[in-house]
Amino acid sequence: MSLTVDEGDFAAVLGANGAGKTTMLRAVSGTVRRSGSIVFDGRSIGGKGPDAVARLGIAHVPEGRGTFGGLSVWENLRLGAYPRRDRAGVRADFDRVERHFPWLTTRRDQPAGTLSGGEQQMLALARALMARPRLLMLDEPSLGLGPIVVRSLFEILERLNREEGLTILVVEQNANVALRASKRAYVLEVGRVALAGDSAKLREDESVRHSYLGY
Amino acid sequence: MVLAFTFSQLAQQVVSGLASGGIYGSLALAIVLIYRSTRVVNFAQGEMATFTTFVAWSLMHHMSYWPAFALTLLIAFGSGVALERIVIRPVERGPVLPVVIITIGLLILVNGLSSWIWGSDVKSFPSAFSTRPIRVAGVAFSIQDLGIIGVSLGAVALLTLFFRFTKVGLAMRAVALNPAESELVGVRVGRMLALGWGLAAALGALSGMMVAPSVFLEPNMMLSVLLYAFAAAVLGGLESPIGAVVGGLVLGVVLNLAGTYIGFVGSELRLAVGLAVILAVLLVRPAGLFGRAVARKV
Repeated sequence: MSLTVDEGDFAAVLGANGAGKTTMLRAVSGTVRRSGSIVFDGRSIGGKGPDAVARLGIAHVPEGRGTFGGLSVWENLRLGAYPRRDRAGVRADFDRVERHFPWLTTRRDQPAGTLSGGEQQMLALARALMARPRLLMLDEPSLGLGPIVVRSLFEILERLNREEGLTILVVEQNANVALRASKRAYVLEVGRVALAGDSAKLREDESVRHSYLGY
Repeated sequence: MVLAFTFSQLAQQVVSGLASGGIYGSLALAIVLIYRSTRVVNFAQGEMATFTTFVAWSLMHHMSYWPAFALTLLIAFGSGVALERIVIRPVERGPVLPVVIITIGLLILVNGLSSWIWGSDVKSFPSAFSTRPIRVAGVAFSIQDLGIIGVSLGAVALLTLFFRFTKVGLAMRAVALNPAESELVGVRVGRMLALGWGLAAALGALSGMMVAPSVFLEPNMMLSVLLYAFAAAVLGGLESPIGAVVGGLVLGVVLNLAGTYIGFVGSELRLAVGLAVILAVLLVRPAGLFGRAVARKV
């Protein structure tokens, strides 16, 4: 399987259950054993552990939110910025995150585990942003969320990509939403890239929709 | 059973119970620090404490009390970190049982090492505080008891501040909650675990140096203290640092009052009371006073 994400791109990876979408992300972040070559910014990261990959600037928001339920909203955000040394930059990023998610301000002392599913997903995204990542990877962010929350989540992602040039790689089963927000898309089929192209083009292609996306 | 009961005696017994409780609590806290991040009970915690107390004893031949005290804490911290890196790390990510067996092996090894280096004869250990009593509101308290309470509570307060307000403290709490997730935000999990062992070893050294003046220093000094610390940790819920300390204080007071007011307990049955506490907590409230009951998927 071969897949490339350019700097400043917003790539979506689609495909049915078991196509290997999650495993692909986990291979990049180093949470599964891997073979072959994984290159980030000209450097091979195939041998690096998850903590080292994270410190290189790859933020991975895993499936099922992955916030620390026992820690407060504020502590979750602080952890997002854990590898960073630039205090002023971190403070600026707290403000940036609060601009995208204004409700975080009033909830900052609340345990993350008491947030709703949608809020936890937003917090997971906010925490990933606190790392000021150069590549943001999200695994099934729409899972278990209502349509309105999903739409606003993808709107935020689109805005981050458009306004701040953030490189995003999102794995999604909700093809409709993902194709609308992303620039490029890959369709996975049991461990191989079956189809790749412009998201807008893929969305309009009748045969693609029928055979790969099921709508 | 005689009910000779005066307020002043009760107050004295409570305070000296709190002093031993502070010692149990410090060691219990050491056990909890390691347990909550790795699910492993470190059976060698008491022997590590004894060993470092011997180190303090040797140092005190060359310098005065407090410098030796501080240096011992540093040495304990360093050896805790080293022990985790060398002995525990190879089995860290595997099942819990091998790790537990390794800590039991460590218990025997460290105990043997203490006897080998310092011999098994009983040594007197200086106290930082005078044993002179002071009178507060007509009741005489020993300065040593008050000092021990102060030192243990001070250590706990420092640790609480560290966990709550520093970045590394926050990372250590995150690792305790979810190591896999912590890695994804860039926390070096192995380092945090080693740091936990270091802090635990330093707390153990603290409890060893506090208890040594009253029980005398010898290689098996911490054996009974370790049992009380287990009882305190279980009482507090094994995962809660505050619980461990409160558990220790409660246990110290209960043991002391039982020894004083229940005729047949005396000093001989104190250990049995400690075991009874463990048993009772496990039967009645397995999650402890401060723990949360967790449903695990099977």
